[in-house]
Amino acid sequence: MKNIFKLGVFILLLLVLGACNLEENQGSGNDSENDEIKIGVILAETGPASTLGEAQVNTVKLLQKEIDARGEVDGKKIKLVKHDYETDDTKAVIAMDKLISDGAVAVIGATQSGASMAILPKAMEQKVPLFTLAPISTGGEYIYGMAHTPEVIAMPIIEYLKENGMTKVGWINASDGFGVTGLPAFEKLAKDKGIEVVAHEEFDASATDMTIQLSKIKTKNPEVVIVWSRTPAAGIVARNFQSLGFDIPMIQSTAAANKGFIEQVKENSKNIHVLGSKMNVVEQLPDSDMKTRLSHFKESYAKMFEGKEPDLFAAHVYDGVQVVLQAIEEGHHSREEIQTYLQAGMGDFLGATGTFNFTNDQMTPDYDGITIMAIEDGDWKYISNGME
Amino acid sequence: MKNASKVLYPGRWKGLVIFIVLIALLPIVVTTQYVFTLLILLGIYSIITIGLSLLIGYAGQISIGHAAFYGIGAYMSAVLTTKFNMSAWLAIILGMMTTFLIAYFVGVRVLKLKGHILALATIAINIIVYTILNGWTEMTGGALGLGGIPKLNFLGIDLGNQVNFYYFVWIIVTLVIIFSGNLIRSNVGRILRSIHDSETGIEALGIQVSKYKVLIFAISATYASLAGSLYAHYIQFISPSTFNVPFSILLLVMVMVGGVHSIWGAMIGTVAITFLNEGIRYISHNYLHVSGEVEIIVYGFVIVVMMIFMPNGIVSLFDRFQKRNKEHESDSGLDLKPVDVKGGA
Repeated sequence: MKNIFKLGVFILLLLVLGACNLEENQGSGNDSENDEIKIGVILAETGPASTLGEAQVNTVKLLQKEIDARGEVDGKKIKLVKHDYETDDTKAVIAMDKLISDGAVAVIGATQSGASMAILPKAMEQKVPLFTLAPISTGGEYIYGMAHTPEVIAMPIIEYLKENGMTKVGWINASDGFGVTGLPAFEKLAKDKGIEVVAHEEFDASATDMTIQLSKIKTKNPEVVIVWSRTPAAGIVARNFQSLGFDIPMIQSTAAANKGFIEQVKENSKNIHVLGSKMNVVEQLPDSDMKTRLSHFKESYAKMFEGKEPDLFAAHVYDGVQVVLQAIEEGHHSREEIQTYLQAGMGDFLGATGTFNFTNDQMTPDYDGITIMAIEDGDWKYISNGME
Repeated sequence: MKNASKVLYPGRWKGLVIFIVLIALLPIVVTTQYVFTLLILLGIYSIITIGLSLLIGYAGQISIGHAAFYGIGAYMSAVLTTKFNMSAWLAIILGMMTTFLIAYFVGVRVLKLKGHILALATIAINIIVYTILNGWTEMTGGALGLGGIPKLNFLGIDLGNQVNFYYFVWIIVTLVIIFSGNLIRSNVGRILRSIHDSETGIEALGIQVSKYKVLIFAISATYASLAGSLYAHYIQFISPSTFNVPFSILLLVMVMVGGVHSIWGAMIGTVAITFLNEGIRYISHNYLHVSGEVEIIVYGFVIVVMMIFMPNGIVSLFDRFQKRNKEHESDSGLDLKPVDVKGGA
């Protein structure tokens, strides 16, 4: 009796696992029969990083709608398979394994640098093209960075300083994961151009007053102050900067290019510049391919999500999916074919965040998608700084 | 003496043999990478929950801070192998030794506390460790995490291969089960059980209770450290958020659902919660079209139901069944009625 019971439990367990497995196998087996191509997307829909993930999830919905409207490609249906990793690295890895088991031809994710780094070894091992949505420190074969590296973000700033003949920089950043990445990248580029960082101060990302640090910077007489911090700290620095009566320009990083920052700064926006996506100022851009592409994305997004605007994080997803779609449309339907195409056949790819060329650089788009903006009447103002 | 141990503890080998056969045969039916990853994580989590069941179920102490020791193990392995090019095996052992010492010295102070206060103190340990992992950027990489952790290689066997790693992890789980079983059956185990039942009583017998409490705390922390090292070498990337308080709570839920009084209970709970988690995600995503942390609501519900109807966990179902069988068998014989020891190894 007892043994029968134990045997029963044992068989039941095996069956349950077998069933899990069967379903998996059927899943991938059916794909080849149904001619469905799966593209995996791993996003932080919930958890602390969901503030970044929300717009990305919307973008996936928008893209699936567009894909369905366009119809089948070579008789194959294209499906975006979205997984929420709940801002948990381990869950991102499980999602990655699920996508690999399900036969996804490429994976776009994850929202944060950490989770991207966690799924990266799997992508390289299983030879799945992976498009990361956050800057990562190390790349590799099959790894493509959709987000700008700090070096690329620093480039328009260098251009701006050169153009305005500024050589003395006061630098202030938050002492968190994002804040500390800016200065090393900037200094590397600045050295050759004769630009010098005369003052460097740090503050805690949750601090509520940076007057002391800014006062110290003021004594060194810089010609420009550069801030590398997320909001809301970025906005507090800007307010302190105004109340201390600085009469020089301030340049903020891409992390400040959101509506929240404008609201924090309000009318006090004189001299304040922010590095942002051209998508923020698409209406003011001169006509170009990029303008058409950006306004299409911005308008269709606003139409589907009641007037909301896509941000840079959403644009990274948009670009990643578009790259894979282009590869599939050109007739490359497997992981290996897509990889070969990206490396050799694709050439320049015009994305929403800039131009990509995966033969030259797998880790970042070019800086033609970002620009320095001013704030005027509570909205972004495009300043052409000679990069066009 | 032989008979006494038979009366005191239910048989252990039968369960163990069934377990080993199950582990050995699973790869025949499992082929996908996804299920293998789940099974490997199950093994890793089981190592921690077995340690927790020793601490909670046997010694009657609580910890909501075991993710901290899991993190110390993971980071010791990661930092020593990537920054100091140390052998991975040496790093694992050093990690376990460091964790044992840290847990021992922290435990000496902390385990003087009781009940809710002890629970709070262990949460504090977790928060302190988390803050250090997050803040000590030069060593741990801070919030950006630490990548490039090498895969394990055992005497020429490539443990980067999922199937090999699966067997490796579960062999370690088996060793942990045997070690813990021996510990429970030793005089230490009996003292722990008595501490659980009455601290004052056992102290009155002239036994220094604190020594044993601290010892078992440090041993369970060492298990967690071992699990952390395995996790680091499997995932090859770690960041502090994995080792924060919510994971400690999840571990506690696993142990409670499975049954705190038994090592098997801890494992059953780990399996149940992990598959429940995946099941909920699958159902809510594919059929209900709800996304988000639905499982948290379900966990809450499961805990409430378990506490009301099955306070000794899922494993108590097996025990109840076994007891009924034993009663049938002993009807004919003159056996002693088995003493009601919950669970056993």
